[in-house]
Amino acid sequence: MTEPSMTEWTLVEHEEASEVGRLDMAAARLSVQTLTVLNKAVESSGISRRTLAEKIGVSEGRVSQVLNGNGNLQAATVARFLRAVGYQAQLMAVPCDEGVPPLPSPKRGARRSRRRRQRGGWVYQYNLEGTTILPDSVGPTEVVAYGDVHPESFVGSLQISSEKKPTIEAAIVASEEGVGV
Amino acid sequence: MAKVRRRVVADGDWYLVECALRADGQTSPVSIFIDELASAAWPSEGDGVSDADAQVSTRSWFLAVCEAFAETGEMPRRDYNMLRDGFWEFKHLDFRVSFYDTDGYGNYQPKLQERHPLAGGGYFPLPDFDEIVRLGHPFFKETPRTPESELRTAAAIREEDLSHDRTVDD
Repeated sequence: MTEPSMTEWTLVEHEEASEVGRLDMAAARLSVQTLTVLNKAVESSGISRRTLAEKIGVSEGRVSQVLNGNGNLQAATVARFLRAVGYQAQLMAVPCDEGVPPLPSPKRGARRSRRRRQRGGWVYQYNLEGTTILPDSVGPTEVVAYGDVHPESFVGSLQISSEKKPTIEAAIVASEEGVGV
Repeated sequence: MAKVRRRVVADGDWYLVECALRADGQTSPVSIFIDELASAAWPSEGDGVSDADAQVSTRSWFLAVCEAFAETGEMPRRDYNMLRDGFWEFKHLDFRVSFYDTDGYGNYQPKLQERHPLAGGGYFPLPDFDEIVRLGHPFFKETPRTPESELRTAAAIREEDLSHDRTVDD
């Protein structure tokens, strides 16, 4: 069996050796990822292309153009398509150069929670394991989610207001639907 | 025969994607093709803007697809197709790149898939390939069916390429 030399760079690594190549690869990676995620979301939703076209208000041809395109789409197009099939796009920037700090985490809404306390209701904030870490009183029907709130891989912080304490599953579903519980 | 050295396109958690070699142990049709890929680029869709910052070059796209395939075992459906006899192809614009998988010991086991029905013509789900994926040769597709001559070329390159692995083991 022939083994690849570990000291040799891959073509991808060669491409990234220059500033232009790094930027080109970044653009191509996000395009590939966008196309992959869009198609997965549409298929997972079970929504037909015709229904999707009707929901977005475009032709079926346009839907095919987007799903069979190169993924180099406008942000609004990606967001509309994902939302129409029940998903929400999130953008995250990850440091990849040495010395570049992670982006500051979003504020967790504590100040706003206190202000809402006057209107009644409750807010529950969950930790990584899905247990409540912050019971607080706020106004009803408000959902704020940070990070990935997919039920099977919940990471990040989910904050939800409710008249009574929701389960983590109910809170995730509510956040996905953009409504309170 | 001396041990051959193949150019590695991407080395990921799922696959090692590298360039197949012809009988001389030096020539790699797809390696030459990647080097010569023109800087053709697609503009961003929609508003007609074609500024440099809105473009994705053909070369970068192809490398990114190979990288995603190597890292995740997946790639966008529109970017591949199953041929026959264990051959698959990367699709991009009007060019194709044949590929096959091997265990690295000179063997290959065709991974045949049934077409998955889906609006838009369906697709072939990607199987679990063997760990090493070799890019065979590039060709331009001008007809709906892959020309027989290209399939014969792909088969010849695969046989020549695998012979290097068998020779090393002997």
